[in-house]
Amino acid sequence: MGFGDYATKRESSYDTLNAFYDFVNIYSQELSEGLRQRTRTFSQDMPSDIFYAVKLLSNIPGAGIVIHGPRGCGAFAPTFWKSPDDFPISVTNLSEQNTILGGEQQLRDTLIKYITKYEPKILFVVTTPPVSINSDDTGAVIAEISDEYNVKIIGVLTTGFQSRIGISGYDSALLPLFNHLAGDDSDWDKPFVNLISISEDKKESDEIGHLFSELGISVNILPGGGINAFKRAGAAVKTFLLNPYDGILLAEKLKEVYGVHFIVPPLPIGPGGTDLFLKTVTDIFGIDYVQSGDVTVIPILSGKRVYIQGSPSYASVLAEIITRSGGSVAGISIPFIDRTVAYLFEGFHDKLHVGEGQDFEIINYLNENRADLFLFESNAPESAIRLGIPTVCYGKSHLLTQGGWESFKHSIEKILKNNAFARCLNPDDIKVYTDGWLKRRVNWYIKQEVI
Amino acid sequence: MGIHNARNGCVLQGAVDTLRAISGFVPIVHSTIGCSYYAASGQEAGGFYSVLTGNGAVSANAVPSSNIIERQVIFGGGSRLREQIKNTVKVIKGEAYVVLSGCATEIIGDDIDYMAKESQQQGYPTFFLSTAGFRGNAYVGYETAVLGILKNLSLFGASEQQIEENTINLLGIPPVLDPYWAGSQRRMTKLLERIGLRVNRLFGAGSNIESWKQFPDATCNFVFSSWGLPAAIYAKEHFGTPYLEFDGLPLGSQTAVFLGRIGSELGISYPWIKSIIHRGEETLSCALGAIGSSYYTNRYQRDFVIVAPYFTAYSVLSYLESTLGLSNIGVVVTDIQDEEEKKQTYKHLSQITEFILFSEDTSEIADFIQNRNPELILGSHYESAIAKKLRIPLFEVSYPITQRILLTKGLSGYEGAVSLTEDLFSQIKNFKETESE
Repeated sequence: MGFGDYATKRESSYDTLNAFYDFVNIYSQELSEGLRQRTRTFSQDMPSDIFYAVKLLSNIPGAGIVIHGPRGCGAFAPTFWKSPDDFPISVTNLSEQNTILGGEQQLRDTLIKYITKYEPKILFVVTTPPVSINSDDTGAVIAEISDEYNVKIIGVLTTGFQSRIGISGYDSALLPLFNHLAGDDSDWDKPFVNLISISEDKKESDEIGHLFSELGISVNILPGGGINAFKRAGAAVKTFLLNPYDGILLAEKLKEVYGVHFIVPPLPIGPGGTDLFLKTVTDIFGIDYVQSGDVTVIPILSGKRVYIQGSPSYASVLAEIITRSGGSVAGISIPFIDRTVAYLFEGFHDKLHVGEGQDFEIINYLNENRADLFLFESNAPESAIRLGIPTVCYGKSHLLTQGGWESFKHSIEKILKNNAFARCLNPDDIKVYTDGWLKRRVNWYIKQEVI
Repeated sequence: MGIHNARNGCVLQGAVDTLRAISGFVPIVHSTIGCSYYAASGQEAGGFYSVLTGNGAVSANAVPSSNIIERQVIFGGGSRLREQIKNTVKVIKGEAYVVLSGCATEIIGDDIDYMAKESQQQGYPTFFLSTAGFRGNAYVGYETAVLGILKNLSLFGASEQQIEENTINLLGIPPVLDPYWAGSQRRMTKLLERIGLRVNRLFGAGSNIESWKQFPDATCNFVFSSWGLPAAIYAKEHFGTPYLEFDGLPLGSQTAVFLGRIGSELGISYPWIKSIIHRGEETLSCALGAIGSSYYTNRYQRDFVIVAPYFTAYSVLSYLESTLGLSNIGVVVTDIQDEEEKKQTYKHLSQITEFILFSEDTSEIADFIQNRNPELILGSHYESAIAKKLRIPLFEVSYPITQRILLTKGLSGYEGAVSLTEDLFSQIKNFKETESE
């Protein structure tokens, strides 16, 4: 128990690519003919499966996390440890000696220290490249300590190198979560639905949960509802998977084992999106609902060229909004493309950039194809900033909340009115990239893999 | 032993942060995905300055990396690295390319040095640094990077040594790990220039390959923490450059002692130094006078614990006690790992404080703080949990910092002392007002 649940890497399970720059129908054609993996011969760093696994696990209330590896593997802890009330994210701090002789004792000591100090309800052990290469018997230590201290400890196998797709980390976390926690033993006396919301923060998940509640539907939020949410998940009448890619493994497992079918509803972004979302939900349950007919537009975007960088669901919805508002999409960059999301871009008639953290390619594109506005989800795009393009982070706007949507629209209005900050940045900063690179085509360093 | 909420990062991350703070230096990471991306996570928490270094340094989110995958872990990543280096020089405009190893690539035994030398032979100033994360913390990464650059100066066409009178190098202020590094360095530079010294810009604005080529031409190296000592010793042995060691950057009235010592060692006119000191003391005194009444009304005098690397802890503690009249009831030194160095540090620190802990583990630190029962904590964001539990204010002075952005604020000199006083007492005042609501 506790270890040995290996999620198939995304490249195999969902035909995922993270290096691509072409029309989406090329990807779709290859799916039927045989997908060719791509690789980059020059790359910039990006988040690994470990990062995404910890991101997911840190959203489970009452869960402790121990990263089994050298200290640097826990360096992103400040990103996820936000509140003084959160459990810490610990790292076993393997030394050179541990990597040679094995780090089992170090793991043992760290787990005991964690359990003794914090008494978590559940503890996750996340593995790292050195541990995976050295084949530490992490499972045995987990089983031993779990028995001795009567604490549920679950191993999450992440390696940093088995998959080049960061969100494989979600699968690596979800599979053991499902295997060890999921059940159909509901402690609720009313029927309910599951809401799988992994990429969103608690505020957004709760607001969507509230939409269900207003319709009189009880909602079980995963993973934010904690251990009990998993325990009852198999008893749900249906699963709503907010994004078709992040929680897909969990949704499929719930269907396969407990017969809980899932649906991917429209993202409730803006009044129009929310209206469509509610229509979808009420249709399923036969609840009377009169559509408002609202349409989500941002009038100020009329005539503007907008570049979008973000996860597939959000990028595709924003693209539609921009077009509906009379603007045009200058380009889209998403971190990956696979079977679960390709359909979202069927209406996009330009080449799609696929690559997480490959700022050099985006700056190449924007240097030649200027945009009036750059929308991004999480990490600030050095490219847009250095080129002085008005930029708005929608990721922090809580787009799925009503207040968040209004705030986002207002942010766009403000930046288009006054982009002084970007203009005051040093325009020479783009010169970190060579002229030679800026003249090449965007996908110069993306090659089909030769095995 | 495991660490709860690790604050120091690893060797690789320290090296990446150090190199990125020098214009023209391009780190190339040879490792699995994510190793230097973690360094980017720290940017939000440590010192914004280095993210958008105004002179075209490689940004936090865009470090070139070989991102090796399973196939390369099994069969070796040498050819992937060769390809990455070859293409990095075509994409990123650099004057020096530094190949850094991660844990995985050292475990599998890739011959990274060979690949770096291959690039050298093709005419690109490239060298390799062994920075596997399991070798130590990010301070070791800073040390490794600085020493590595000095050992490879010949690659950049450094000319024959020509001692430049009154030129100084500043060592031991690690970029990002010391969140105040940019402001502290700027203030220290200004102060030294006032007494007629020229400071070689090694990091941040104004830094470039030329300043590193001129490193051996300095009259003297000033070392503000033990992390700069190996480089200073190397410079002494290879360039004949003497060095002066200090216990952190001087803050407030410590500046007088600092300047006096420099004046004496470097033969700078004492009346001139005295006038600088006089102006500085006057500035500080006026500032403190302005809040004299508020000091007593708002009861700023607190028992405090400080949690920081030694070079920050020593100077801040000294200033708070000797000038602001606060009482130190505990120190946690978060950077020193070596047992021998701990003993030396303990001996030195115990002359000014009684309760000392060496730890980087957040839970151990929290227990220590709880036992000391202070009225104020100066530490990192990780101390927010114990501060909340004890219902006392936390002022962030050490990595990671999330309370504010640090652009020009520095913990050095008279101005640094005034700035620290403003921020610290504002924090106490705001906390007090919040408590009473």
